[in-house]
Parts: sequence; structure tokens; C-alpha cells
Amino acid sequence: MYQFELNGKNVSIDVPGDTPLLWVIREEMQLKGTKFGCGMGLCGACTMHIDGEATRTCILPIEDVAGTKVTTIEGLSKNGPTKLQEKWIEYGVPQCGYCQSGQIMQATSLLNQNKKPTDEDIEVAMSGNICRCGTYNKIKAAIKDTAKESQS
Amino acid sequence: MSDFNRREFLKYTGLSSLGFIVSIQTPLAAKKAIVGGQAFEHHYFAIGEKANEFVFIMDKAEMGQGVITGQATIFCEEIDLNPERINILPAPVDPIYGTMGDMQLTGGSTSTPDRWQVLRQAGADIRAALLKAAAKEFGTTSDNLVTSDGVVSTKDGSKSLTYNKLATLIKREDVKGGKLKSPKDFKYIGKGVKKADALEKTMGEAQFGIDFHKEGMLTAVILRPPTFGGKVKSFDKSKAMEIKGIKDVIEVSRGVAVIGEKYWQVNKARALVKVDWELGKNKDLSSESIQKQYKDLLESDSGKKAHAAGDVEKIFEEFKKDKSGVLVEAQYELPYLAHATMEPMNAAADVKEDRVDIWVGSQGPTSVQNEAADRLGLNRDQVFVHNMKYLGGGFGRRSTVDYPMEALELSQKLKEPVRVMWSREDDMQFSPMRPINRHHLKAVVKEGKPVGYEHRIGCESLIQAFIPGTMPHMLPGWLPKGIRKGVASVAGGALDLMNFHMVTGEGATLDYDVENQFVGIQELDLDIPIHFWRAVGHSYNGFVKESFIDELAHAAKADPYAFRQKLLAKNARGLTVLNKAAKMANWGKEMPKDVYQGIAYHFSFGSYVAQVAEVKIKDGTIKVQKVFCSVDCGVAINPDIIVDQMKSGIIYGLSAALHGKMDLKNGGFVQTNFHEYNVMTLDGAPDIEVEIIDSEVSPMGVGEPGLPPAGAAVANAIFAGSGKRMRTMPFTLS
Repeated sequence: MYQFELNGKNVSIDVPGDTPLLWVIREEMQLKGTKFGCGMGLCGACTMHIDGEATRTCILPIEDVAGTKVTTIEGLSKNGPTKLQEKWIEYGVPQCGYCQSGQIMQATSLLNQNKKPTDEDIEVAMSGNICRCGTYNKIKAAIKDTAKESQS
Repeated sequence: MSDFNRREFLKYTGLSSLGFIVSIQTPLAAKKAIVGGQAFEHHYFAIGEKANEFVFIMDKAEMGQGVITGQATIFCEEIDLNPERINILPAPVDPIYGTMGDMQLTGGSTSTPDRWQVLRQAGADIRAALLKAAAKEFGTTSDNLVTSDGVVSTKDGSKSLTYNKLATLIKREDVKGGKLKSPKDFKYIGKGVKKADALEKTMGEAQFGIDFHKEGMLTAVILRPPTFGGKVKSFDKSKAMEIKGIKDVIEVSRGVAVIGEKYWQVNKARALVKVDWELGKNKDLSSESIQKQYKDLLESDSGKKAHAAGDVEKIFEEFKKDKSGVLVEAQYELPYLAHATMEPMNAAADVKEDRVDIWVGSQGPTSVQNEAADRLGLNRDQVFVHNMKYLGGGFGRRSTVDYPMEALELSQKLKEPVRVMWSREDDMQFSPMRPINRHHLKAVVKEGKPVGYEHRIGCESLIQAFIPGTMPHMLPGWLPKGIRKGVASVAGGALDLMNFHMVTGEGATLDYDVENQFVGIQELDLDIPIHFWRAVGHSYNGFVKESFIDELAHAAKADPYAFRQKLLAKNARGLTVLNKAAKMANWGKEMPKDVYQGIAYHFSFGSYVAQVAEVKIKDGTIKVQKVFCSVDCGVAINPDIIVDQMKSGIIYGLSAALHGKMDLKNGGFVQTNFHEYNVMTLDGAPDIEVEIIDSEVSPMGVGEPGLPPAGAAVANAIFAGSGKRMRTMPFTLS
């Protein structure tokens, strides 16, 4: 039995310790906003926040999650879209949309740690999140614009 | 509509009452009884009686190309309603939505051109009926009324009614004779209509195939043979069965299936199944051996004619004699490529004695329905295909039936609902690929122009690979299966006789002013699954043609832009995009140290695209910094989506050009996941600028045309900087 905090609520789950967090969330909790893309931590589709840190959950065993705070795309905000998500919608970033939860979780974590990211900071932080539709230009623009607005 | 249908329809659309419902016929669809699909009639558009109840039922699969927003915009323009106000839902699978015969299909960048007239007229006709209903209420005539975003008013503004209020007053027989708007009056077309799916996809609420859940449904993964054509000899499931939740391990037609409650269980158990494989006849087949076969074929014979104009042989003979001009000859070789959609393949099925349900994200759901009916000996109307609202990438991959048929087979065997999941490794190694292709080109350049041009293509027939799986499903279900398959094989042959190489050879024929041309095709028939890959034949022919044209410009000692300008003198739209891209990039400007420009132009799927790439070459590395792209796709329905699609095509094309390669070795693919099959990521992506040429010509597709010139523009910049010609992919300077 493993206990952790999921989007602000305490939960416990009885699965083998090596079960990846992604599948606990998708199959046991039936929260489907976080996606499966590669199973090796290579594409970023499964990104959630563990204690605020963007983490690849397809390779994160549940036994390492016990006692932490887990945030998924569903738990990012209690009152509608965040500032970044508002920008995301305004720019119309998503195409097929499948990688977007992971992109948003990664970008949110970047902005939490770095209020004024440079182009290079964005490139480094986002380089592990694959988008096959190629929404990269808009992702970059939405992140920059969000950072800019939070300065003013 | 029966009460049952009414109930189903209301449940599906969320409407409070039926209000007004109208169906819109596609030109190719025959008017006939509904076959399969949800239990209600096909309906394209419904207006509910409550404020803001508008439902638009869309047959096209949304896979990122923006089709739902685009189609709704075309329709809403004429009915005069802001497209952002309507609820767009996926259509049931039904012949009424046929794109190819009775086939419901999303592909080939066809949705916009196919529906442009139909949807506009439908919108205008419904608007006419709304006006007529309002005129009756107001005791006046339609010409005294105006509409604006869902409201009909008298011209003096004294009376008005919303479309919702008019819903029950509209007469079906009045839906006709609508007059189309003049483009100068467009309120939504060409403007900034927001993507209909942006909110759901940003909030993590969008539903994909992988998100489908049904209580009690089992999950399966399949271990497939290491060689194509390989078979199971025997397997040992004992260790796998010890994993909690595993229900069984059984042999299926594509290998050994591990079935359990959850994906994480079956994924763990699959590693514990020991399978002894019969490797089969392809065990020695490799990319190298296929390239070698093509090389021999291309060097021995010009192949089946795909296109011929003038007399290239005569030009080559003359050159042999008088040696006047320059002869240029080159070979290009391109690898297998995986589609690698972000959402790996998956599908669920529930097979009962007299009814089958399939849940899948598909570009071609009719094939799924009909193939399932054929396999189980059921009528097509006993198979209910529930196409998912969103596809996590398509690029051609999701127009095959392989993955839903695996779910079907498993559910039939287990007599329970089953979903089949493909791991990334399964998806990368066992999906049908873009086939290996090789090219032999030869041209004579005289006085700054090619006078004879020959392009020999070595590639498997993409249309032949597609027809047998598809044609039987385009024919009526009452024809016996054997006859349908027979017709399909004859049709395939007939296409061959008709010299119908438009898919494998598409984009190789020059739309440049070159009098003597020959395009020939040499085909191998291999057992490796292949399929359409974004931009299909154009994806490789566009690259090869535009690279070779650059070689010819170099041989003619001409500027590559000026060389193309001359060749496009008689092609006004082509010349306009070429000039535009050159202007955007300030072609020929002084570049920073180590940065070089390359240019390319290609016409595909009805759209004209030119690009200039700026590439930095330093210390043996290639970095694409910037791409300028101009496009003429006719009327720009949604400029923002067109820009996105150009960028998307460029990034997809450059992923292949700079990183992508699937190697066949010992009859199977070597690369397994994104660490071995690299794709472009944000840090490597160029900044892309797109400009759309103003046009009132009917709109054409944009999902694919951005791709073909991208690789060539970059390759040509690399040549400009390094003198090295990129004739293989992925590009390398070493």
C-alpha cells in the first residue's frame, strides 16, 4: 500500500512497488489527461509534477512516489486555466494535442523555477518533450509571453 | 426518426430537444439506407431550441490538422453564425459521409477542397430557410431581413429572433436556393477563428483512443516475430502467468498475445514469455540488400513509364555525339521511415454473436467496419465503429486496419471486450513504413536550362499496397467477399495498365518548363509492410527533384533562385510563391559567418509552396536556424491553421532529413524507440516564418504540402556552405 498526495487529496493504492506512476494514475485512478508516449522517459508525454518538479512518470516506480505531492494536468489549477494555459489557448498551440499535457507540465515547472527564462533556458528545459506535429514555435512563444506578462 | 433514434440522438448531442436537424449530402455519397454506425440518422447540423444549442456533426478525423475548425468555419460563414459557438462532434461511420465511393476517409489533404462548395451551399440553404421562417413570423418577406451571428432581424432592427428560437419553425422543404456570399463579405473565412479543440487539449480533457475505458475490458499486448513473415513455433507462458492480473497468454495471427487486466501488468508479463520463432523467408533481408537491388534495377532500365514528354533519349544521344552542354547524373537513396505518431496504436473491440463494437482512432473507419464484417461473416450494419473524437497524430498511419483487427481477433477468441495496446517499441517496429526508395537522375543542361531530364524511381508501389486492403470496402456489401477481393485485384492491375503511378511517382514530374522529360518506376515486391507517410510520394520525390534541380543550377553556374525563376516563367502561381519566399529571406543577402541559404519549390495536393532555409554549418554540425515559407493554397480558410500546418510539415520533413532512419536487418527493424529513431525537438527546431498568398481560387489542402520542399531547402543550403551534396538521409557532413 502506497500513500501520496494527488492533486491536493491524500490517496493510497495497493499495487506492486515497481508499477510506474503513469499507469497508476491512468488505470487505477482513471485520470487520463497524462499520456503514454514511449515508456522510457524519452518523449515527455507522461510529465507530472512530483513535489513541484517536472518528472517523467512512465519510468517512475510507485514505491518512489510514496509520501510525495503529485500534480497532474487535471490538478494544475482549481479555477480554470492557469496563466500559461490561457496563453496556450490564445496562441492555439495544440495540433493533435496528445503531447500537450506533458508540454504544459514541463513549461509550468520551468516558469515556477525561472520567472525570466531566456530562449536558451526554454530550449534546454523543453528539449525532452517531443511533439510530432511540430508546435515548437508556438510553445516557445506562449512561454515567453506568459513570462513577459507576469513581469509587468 | 423513431423514438429510439430520437433518444440516442439527444443523448449523443446533449441537445435539450430536437429542434431543427438537417443533413448535408456529400457529392460522392449515394442516397441510401444507413449501414451501421450509431442508431440515429446521419445529421450534419442541428439547432436546438435553447439558446446557443448548435451541433455540427463532422465525419472528418481531427488529428491536429485543424479540420474540424476549418470545416465548421466554411459552413458557418454561409449560415452566418460564429463557428466558435458551435459544438462539433464526431460522426458515426456511415456511407453517407463517403469521400472515396462509400469510404469515410480523412487523408490526402482532401477535406477542404472536397467540402468547400458542399458546406458553403448547405450553410446558405439553411440560412435561406431561417429567413423564410422569420419572414413568416414577422409578416414580411426574406428580402426585408438580415442575419448576423445567429440572429435574424428586420432591416430596421425592430424585430429579431435567434436561430434557436426559429429552430422549430424552419421547414425542411425550405432548405434550398441559398445565395453564396461574395468573398469580400466573409466574416469568418480568412479571419482568426480560434481552434475548436484548443481548450480541451490544453486542459488535458481531450479524449483519444487510448483514453477509452469500458468496465471489465481486458488489455492485451502482442509479441510479434522478429522477422516479417516469421511465425510462432512454440512458447512458454508459465513465468508470465505468475504475474498478478494476467488472464492468459495465447497465440494469435500476428504472434503471441499477453492478456490481463491492466497495461502495466501485461507489459511486465510480456518480458517473461519465451517464444521460439520460425524466422521465415525474409530472415536475410536488409536495407542494404534492398538498396542494392534497386541500384541494379535503376542502372539497367528506365522502368515503367509514369510520365513522358518530348524525347529525352534523343537529347541524351545528341549529347553523346556533340558533347554540347553539361550532363549531370546522380543517385539518391532514402531509408524506411516510421510515422511515430505521439499516440501509439491502440484499439478496443467487443465481439458478440450478432453485434460487434470497435473503439478506435482511425483515418479510415469504413475500412475498419467492413473488414471486421468480412472477417466475422457479419453484415456491415452489425459492426459499430466508434471513431474517437481525436487522433493522437495520423500522418497516414491511422488509415490501416491492422490494429483494430488485432482487438477484434482477441475479443472474438476471449469472448470478452479487449483492448490492444502497442508499446512504443511495437509501434515503431511493426507499423507499416514509408518504403525504402532510390533514385537515378540524369539531365542535360544547355544555355542555363535543362533540355532533357530523366528521373528513375525505385520504390514499392504504394497504391498496390493500399488497393487490396481498401478496394473491397469501397464496393457494396451485398457483393460476395470473394468477388469484392477479385474486383480489387483486377482494379489494382487495371491501375497498373493505366500507368497509374500517381502515388509512387507523384511529384517527380516537373512543373518547370522543361520540354523533354521522363519519369520511370522500378518496383520490388517485398513482404515488409508499407504505407502512405505524410505527403506520400511527394515526400521523397519533392526532396530528390529539388535537390537535383539545385545540382543542375550549379552545373549551369547559375544562381539556384534565378535558375528556378526562369523555369517557372510560364507558371504564374509557382513563380509568385518562389519570388515571395526569396523576398522574405532577402535571398542573396550577406549572411553571418558559417550560415548559408538554400531554396526549394514544390507543388503538391493543389498547393504551391516555396521555402528558403538558413543553415549554420560549423565543426561538422548542421543547425537549421530559420525557414521562410510562402504558400498559395487558394482561399485561406483559417490563416493561423495554414501557418501551423506549413510549420508542422516542415518540422516533420526536417525530422526525417536530419534524424530519421529505420534500418531493416535480418528481416526486422533495428530501431526501437525515440533514442534510436530521433526526431526534431524544440531545441533543434528552426524559427519558421510563413506568408500566405492572397487568393480567391478554391481552397486546397495544407496538411502535407509544407513538407516536400523542406529537406531540399536545407540540403541546398548545406551544399552552398560545404560543397557537399546530401544524397542520403539523415544528412551527415562526414
